[in-house]
Amino acid sequence: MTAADISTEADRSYVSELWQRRHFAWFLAMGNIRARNASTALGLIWWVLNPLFLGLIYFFVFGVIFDTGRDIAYLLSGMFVFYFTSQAMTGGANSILSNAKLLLNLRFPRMVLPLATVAEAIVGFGSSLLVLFAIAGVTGGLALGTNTWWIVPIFVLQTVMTIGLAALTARLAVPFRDIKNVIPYVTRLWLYVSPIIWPIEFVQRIPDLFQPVAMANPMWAIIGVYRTALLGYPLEQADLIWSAVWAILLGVGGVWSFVRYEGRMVRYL
Amino acid sequence: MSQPAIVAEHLTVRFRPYLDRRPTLKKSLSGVRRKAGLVTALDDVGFRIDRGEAFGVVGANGAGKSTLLRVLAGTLIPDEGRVARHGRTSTLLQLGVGFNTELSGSRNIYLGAMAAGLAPDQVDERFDAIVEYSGLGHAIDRPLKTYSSGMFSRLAFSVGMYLDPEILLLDEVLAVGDEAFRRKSMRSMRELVDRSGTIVLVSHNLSSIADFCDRAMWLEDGVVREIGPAEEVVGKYGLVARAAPVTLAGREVRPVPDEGWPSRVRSKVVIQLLAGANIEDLAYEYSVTVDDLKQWRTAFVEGGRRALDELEERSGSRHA
Repeated sequence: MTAADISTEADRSYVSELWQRRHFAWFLAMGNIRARNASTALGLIWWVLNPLFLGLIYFFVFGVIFDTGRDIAYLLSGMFVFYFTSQAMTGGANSILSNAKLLLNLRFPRMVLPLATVAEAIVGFGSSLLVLFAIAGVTGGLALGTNTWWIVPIFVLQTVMTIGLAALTARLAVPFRDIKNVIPYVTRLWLYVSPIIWPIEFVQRIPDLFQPVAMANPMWAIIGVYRTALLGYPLEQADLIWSAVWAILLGVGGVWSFVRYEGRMVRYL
Repeated sequence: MSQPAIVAEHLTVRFRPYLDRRPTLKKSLSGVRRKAGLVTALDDVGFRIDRGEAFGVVGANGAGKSTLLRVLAGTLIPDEGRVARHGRTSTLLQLGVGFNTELSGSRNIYLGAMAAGLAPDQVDERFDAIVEYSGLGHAIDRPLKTYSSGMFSRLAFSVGMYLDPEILLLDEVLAVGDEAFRRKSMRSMRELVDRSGTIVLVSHNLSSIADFCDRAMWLEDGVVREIGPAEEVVGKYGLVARAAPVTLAGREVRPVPDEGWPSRVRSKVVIQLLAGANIEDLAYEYSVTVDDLKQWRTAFVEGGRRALDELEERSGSRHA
């Protein structure tokens, strides 16, 4: 017995341990996806039907009834991008609490759980993009071309930000269970202050003083770049910069706060 | 000198009482915190378990057994003290950790094994053996929610055994499946110990600890009351722990091992009849000799009866 045998476990870095558990995170996410609709007749098809119905309803309300003057591609692109992040936040808040048994029994980097939530949300986002392509392919509005390459960096930035937010809600929901009740309202508010169901130009109706505030909304920037990529809107450099700033701030901040806290989580379960 | 598998030193774990552990938003925003005292779940617990040893932990509910296992597993960081594990640790603290009941048995094999740290290809290699060991046959493709509790625990135990652990921590998982599977699981655990693996077993099934473990520890309110040969520790614990609920003819009876305890073959047990609930209300003492530790209960109850009779007789003669 040497000293090395004792220390091997502790010395392995967090990141490499997390990397070793990547398959588990993925398997957990896929298991949840499969399980969620396991007892429904349509099964996995629901992953496409959910965003489809959602998109149709929002289009009916804001495109037809209120006639906000935007096409369905505009509406759906914003909606689906937003839902990727908001789903991960909701799931993140549950990720630790609903896996209490895992945490109490096994030692592993806890970030696996919010990461699995984000992976799940990514799959949902992917299937909703298919819906977007299908609908907008019929109604028009899609502009795919070299601009579409912007989807790569903006997806990476959004994912980093979303990981941070999922980690943050997960970390907060452990000691403060109330967070779970608060999140739906936070995301609802966020949905309405983001340029999703209303056209970007609406921002000019608010006082000049608040316009920069509205545009500093991470969703403003992120959705803007997505619309450049998918709908051919001109690229605003500010959107790109804000997206990167938010990704780094929320991504690093959320994960840092989570990892610092994770040793104490078990005591609250 | 034998090699240590687990060395625990001065383990102390304190919890906030339940209500206080859940600070709501309101409470923390308003800065109002009730000053509730901490509950000490483990108090300066220290021991050493060697390789090739089966170690039992006994104690009443709330004595700190599960907390201890969590500390040993590394999921709970103690407030004080440290624990060193030498070897791959696998925990079956609870059966079926990581399982998703909506999914099939096969998917859960992957899920459970990967939760415990195996890579997918390692699970591939062991998959057939796990299914074979569990004896579930075609049921392995059915969703877990259709399993009986016995089938569930058989699958969970099989996954746990094939994690190929060097240190296995088991919390109340001995009542696994039917009698045949129980024997098989005990045999596997014995093999693990024979291969110089280490098993830490928490159970309320005292006879299985006495039979299976080499040494045992008795925890009482988070404090080590006794560490020693399993049979002795279990014998003592069984005697004292089960004393409280026994009431004979409306009187509480409490056995107290005498000083010489435990000599393995014969031992004198003092049975105290209490007039009230407290040890101070001692009404009568009676000694009985126990030939076999496993017979303690019979001896105890019979001794208690005899003691009662004598007491009745005596008070009867006084009246007369």
